[in-house]
Amino acid sequence: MRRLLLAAGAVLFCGPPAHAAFEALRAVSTPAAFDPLRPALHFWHTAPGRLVDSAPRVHVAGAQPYGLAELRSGAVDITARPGSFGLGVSFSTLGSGQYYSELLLASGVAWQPARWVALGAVVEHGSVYAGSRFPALYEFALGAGVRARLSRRFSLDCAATGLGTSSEEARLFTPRLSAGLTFEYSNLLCVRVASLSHLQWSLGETVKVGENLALSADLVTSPLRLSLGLLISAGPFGFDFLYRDHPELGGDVAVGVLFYT
Amino acid sequence: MPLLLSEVLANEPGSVTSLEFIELVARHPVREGSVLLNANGDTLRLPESPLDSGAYLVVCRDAQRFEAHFGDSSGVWGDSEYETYAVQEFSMSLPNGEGYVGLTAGQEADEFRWSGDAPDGTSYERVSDSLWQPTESSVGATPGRRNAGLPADFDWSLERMSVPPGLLRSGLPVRLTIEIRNAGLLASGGVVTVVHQPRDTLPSLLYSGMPGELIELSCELVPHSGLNSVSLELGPDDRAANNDGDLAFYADGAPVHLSEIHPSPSPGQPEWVELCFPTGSAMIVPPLALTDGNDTGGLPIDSWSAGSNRYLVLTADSFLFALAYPGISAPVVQPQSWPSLNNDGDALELLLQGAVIDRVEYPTPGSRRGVSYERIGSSAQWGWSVAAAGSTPGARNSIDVPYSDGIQVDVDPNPFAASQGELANFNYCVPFGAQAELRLFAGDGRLVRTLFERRAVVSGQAHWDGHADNGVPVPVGIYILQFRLFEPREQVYLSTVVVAR
Repeated sequence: MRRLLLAAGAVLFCGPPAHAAFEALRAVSTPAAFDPLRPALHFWHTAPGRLVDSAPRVHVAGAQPYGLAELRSGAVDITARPGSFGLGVSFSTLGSGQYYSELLLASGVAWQPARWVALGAVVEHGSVYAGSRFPALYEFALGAGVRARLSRRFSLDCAATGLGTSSEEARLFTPRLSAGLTFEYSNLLCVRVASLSHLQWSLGETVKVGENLALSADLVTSPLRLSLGLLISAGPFGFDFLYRDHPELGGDVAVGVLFYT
Repeated sequence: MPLLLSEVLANEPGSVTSLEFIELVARHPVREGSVLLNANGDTLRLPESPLDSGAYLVVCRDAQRFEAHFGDSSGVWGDSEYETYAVQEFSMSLPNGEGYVGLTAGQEADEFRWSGDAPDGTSYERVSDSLWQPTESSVGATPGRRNAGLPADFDWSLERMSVPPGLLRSGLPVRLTIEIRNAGLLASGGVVTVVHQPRDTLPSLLYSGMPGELIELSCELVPHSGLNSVSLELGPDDRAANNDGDLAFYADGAPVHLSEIHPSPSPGQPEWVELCFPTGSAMIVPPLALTDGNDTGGLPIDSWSAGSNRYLVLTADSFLFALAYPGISAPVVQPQSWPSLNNDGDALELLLQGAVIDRVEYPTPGSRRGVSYERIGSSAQWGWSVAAAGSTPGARNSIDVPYSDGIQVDVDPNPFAASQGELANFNYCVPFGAQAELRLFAGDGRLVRTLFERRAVVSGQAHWDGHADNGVPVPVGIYILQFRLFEPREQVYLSTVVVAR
């Protein structure tokens, strides 16, 4: 559960590359919209298909990670206007006789006190229920981050997240630190390099093709994984798809539906 | 021939001789006294009164005893629904052994000869123009009614009832599979009633189908620990004999199973069967019995003692066994009777309290004289012993590791409380000659723990204490178990393991 909390906070300032500009700063996002089990992939990049989208909306997504029939994950992500408030809920459940569910609720606020800097904070609450044989587990954590524009094309961001504790531990979690550098060389193409925890590195790219289509690709190390995303907008609705490869566990697909408020 | 022989009861139950009868059926209207019956040398002209087409006439040796046995025992024939056919008394004697019955009507004739192969109290019945056989009726005879072996209009037959093989756990639902066949002449349907003892009545299942059609039905039941029995009933339809079935099985493991059999002994060796008590104790309730799958003989084991031994050997000749296998520490029991193992059945069943708790079908030994057929480990697989002595009575089998066609992994417990010192046990079964590795990944795809890297493995067990490779306890959550098989073929098995507090 701790990793979920950490990851959720980490995306506080993780504006997607295509709109790394401060104007698109999102208040909060559940990184697990597609896949709560692999939040690290969403550390600085929300699901690729969503990268060019910053409008207030409701996003519902679901996945069956690794093709495991008994495992389900999903998320509901409500994003308010930049500079205000956001709310996200993600969950994972298991069936097949090994009942398990974990639920993460994250809320946050972001603001831009100056033209070249943005700040944000997030509060996270998680709960785990693994059947009647085990006590329910609750976790609570805080996170904060900053993004600074270095030049017209470069911006730097860093965050400390997951500072909290659980109902089963007397001590505080070790915060998770992360940082990223974004380079924009056009409004259509953006490359981002970020250092993740566990000495992971990430390189992502997003291309917006026209008004209604966006494509995205990510590379994450340890293990080296490639993600390919697609977002199609149609009126107030959007549909996104994600394919993610894993060298050992195989690739899988997640899908989502967006409604722009 | 206006009148045909249809059924003959010659071998009456026990020492009774007054129930002998000959059943005749009219193919056309039959005039009074138009047919001559020859009952093993005694002749009688039939019938006493005209018969309509399709009517039955039963010639019996003692009408009063016949009415008492096959009628309503009122002393008067024809006063009940069981007494709707004509009965004619005739002082005849039909031998249990070889016998003869004939009919003549002008130039036409019909006859039946028997040679004494019908069991006690069982009639011979005609199922085709030229074929007679002992009746399939559960009551031994069907005078004045359709023969049990004839196809019925509405008849469904229970073909098979089964639960998944292997170890069943109490409380975990299993699927009961039922195969039924429309053995009747017409399309029909009905209801299957399933009762799972000791306390569950399962929802009724509906079926329908064309003649000859085989239908598979299934339902879910939750086994209780220990002996479970399932009773099933089809119908009702025209033939009740094939409508019932029972299935007994154990959940959480049977207390005893077949371990090794010796169907083809060398000269000087007796046949024997080794039973294994997995828990190492003899906590079973008799009667325990062995039976050859196709033999009527049984082997009741009412008194025996395995003591603290894990094995018990049953043999056809304990004296010969002691000479052939000196120094065996396991108890050896010679039952009062012994079904020959090396016969046409080639199957052996172990019954406990009437439930078939284990069964092995063994191939023809061929040239493997003196070599036993043994269970491989605790699996459902069997194979010929590879012991130098040819067998291992009263001891571990020569191949004690099970093999499977693919990867099978059972995680227990799951979830597991790693912080409480609990271990997740991975019981895996792999093919022969396997090379494999077992790793655990976090939900985000990171490798967390390698339990073993690629190496030669046999079926066995691995444990996870909930720690990563660096020794740090992993957080609560869902982890992905990856069991990767490299040899004898590439295969990957994924499953989930939950770490709880």
